[in-house]
Amino acid sequence: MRTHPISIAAFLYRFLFLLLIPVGRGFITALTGGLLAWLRGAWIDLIVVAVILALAYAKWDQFKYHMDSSGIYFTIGIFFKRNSFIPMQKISTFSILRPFWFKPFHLVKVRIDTIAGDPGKADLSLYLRADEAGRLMRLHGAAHEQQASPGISAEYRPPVLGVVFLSLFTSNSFLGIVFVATFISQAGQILGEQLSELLFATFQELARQIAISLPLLTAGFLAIRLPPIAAGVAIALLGGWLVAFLLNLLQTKNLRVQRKNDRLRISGGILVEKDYSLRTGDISFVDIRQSLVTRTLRLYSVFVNAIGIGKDKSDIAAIIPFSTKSRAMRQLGLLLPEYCSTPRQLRPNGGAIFKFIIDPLWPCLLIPAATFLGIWLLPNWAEILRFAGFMLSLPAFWFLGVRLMDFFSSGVSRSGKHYTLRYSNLYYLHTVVFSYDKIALVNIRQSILQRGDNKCDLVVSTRAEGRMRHHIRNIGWDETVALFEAQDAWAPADAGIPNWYERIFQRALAVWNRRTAGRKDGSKR
Amino acid sequence: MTLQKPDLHVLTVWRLRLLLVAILPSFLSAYFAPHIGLVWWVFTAAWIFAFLGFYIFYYPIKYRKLAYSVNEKCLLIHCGVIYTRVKAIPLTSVQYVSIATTPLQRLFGICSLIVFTAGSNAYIPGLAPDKADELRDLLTPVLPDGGEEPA
Repeated sequence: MRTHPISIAAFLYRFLFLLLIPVGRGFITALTGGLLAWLRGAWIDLIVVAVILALAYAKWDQFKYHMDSSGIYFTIGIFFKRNSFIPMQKISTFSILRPFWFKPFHLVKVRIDTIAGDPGKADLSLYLRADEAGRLMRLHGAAHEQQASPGISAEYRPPVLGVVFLSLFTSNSFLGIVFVATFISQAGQILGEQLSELLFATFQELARQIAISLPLLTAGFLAIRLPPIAAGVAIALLGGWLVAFLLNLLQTKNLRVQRKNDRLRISGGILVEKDYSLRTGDISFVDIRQSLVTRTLRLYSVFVNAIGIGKDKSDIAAIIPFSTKSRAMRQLGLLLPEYCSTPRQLRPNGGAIFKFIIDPLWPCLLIPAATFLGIWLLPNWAEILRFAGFMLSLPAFWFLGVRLMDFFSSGVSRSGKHYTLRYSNLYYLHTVVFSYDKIALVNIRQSILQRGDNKCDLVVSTRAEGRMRHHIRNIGWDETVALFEAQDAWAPADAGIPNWYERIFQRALAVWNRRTAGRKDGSKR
Repeated sequence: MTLQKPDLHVLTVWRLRLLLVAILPSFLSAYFAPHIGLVWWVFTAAWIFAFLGFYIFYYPIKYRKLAYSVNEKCLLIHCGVIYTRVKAIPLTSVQYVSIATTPLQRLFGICSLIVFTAGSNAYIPGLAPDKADELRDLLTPVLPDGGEEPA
């Protein structure tokens, strides 16, 4: 069977590099000839365009597929043909995406993903009519129904407030700014430069007005007089965040998660309606993600990481957008009982706090110091420097807060085949649950400083198409090795007779340990 | 499999590789020696210091800490110089294994084993070819019917 003819448009971009020929010709004629010389050779450009169209058509014409209960067969290529077969049991995720602009044509995009292939894109993408995509989805579902042992069945529709909160906390100002800037620039090109100039002038005026009226509006609470450039940055960030928030909300609205036997079905979205069907066995890990604010408010968001989900920025990875601890755990227990977190068995020792806070400590100390130095050196720039220093300090102190929370909560546990890792990555705290067979690599590493108390850092890479690493700091070496069944007859201390340079180091370490122990005894007395 | 050490020839290979790398800075130092300035003295001292550091300390420590074994669940690689590391790769995660050799390694009759997993990979240098073959067969067993290994 052939895909929808709209695929021709999708294939066009693969041959756009041929447009380099007319561009090169135009460049050469601009240097040597003139307009007439260029016009005389215009037939070359027309031929190139015709070739691009013909190749895209041929690619679509040669692209055929057939799906039955055993799997999907497809043929692709014009000159170099490739026949492939993806067995049904190897399909990890079957996704149907319905952007609103496809709806008038009853068209959808189908994505088929396996554990193999390029991590950045789907193993097979097809543009099909909606009814045909539905047939394939049913076929895929039916094939797995036969293989699965009947068991778990659950459904979860999060309340609208949960989705709003999720969008609120996962929105990124920068993405919104990029989106708005692109929109204004494109609008300027299409509707005339005057429009974009008008928008930019309005933005400047707004920034100026806010800079003047902010101290009045806040009744002197914000005593600093805000420079217009700072107000402009603040508006851009706030506006960008608002746009990103709306986009996120439209992408996750109407979220619905269903579990039936060994399949998890996630659907939702307004601008682009999405429907994913994935095998629970192919879930790499379940991630309970919290920011500093949500940890303080004891709110939880649960995400899944699986093959074929998250390749596109608009993909829905959240299964429980926002909920209290008890509700989130109950829903997770119903949807994915295999992936419930367990209490910590290994945790960092009290002395490890410095290892946790060292990264954010530097910016927390250096940014205020640099601000005071700047104000002292350039008193005329005091206002803008104070504002910039304050704005830069905020993320640094935020990061420090996250690391402190991480210190009190990080650790590792194991229950049967499943592991729970608690750690932080930049501004988020993660509680990750995965099974042993999803581990790609366990890296247990010990620095020279950690040798004294036999601690180590644990870095676990989980199986996914891309690299997913989870890093837990300063836990016991022996316990970690035992927990991940990485023991053999060898430990760092038994590495053999130390060389003379290592002997010097070990002697120095022993002296240091003796002195520290002596000091501790003295203080106890 | 009990803990195994790579072939000692790998240390010679690393040191020879270092000598090859040192040709360029030594040439630069020698070429600019007649019109030498302070910068070139510093440059020469720096690369000689680095060379000796690698030759005397880094590679011997690296070799001493390098070892591998296979237990019933995973392949274990002990390595690291500044950090002491144990890398554990579950046998179920191993997708395929490659045996690679460079001309220098061939000269000394050794090879390297690269283990590819979904999402990561690992590397064991300095194996004798028969040891590498044995390890490859252990990590990627061929089943009689050519089918998949049961999970």
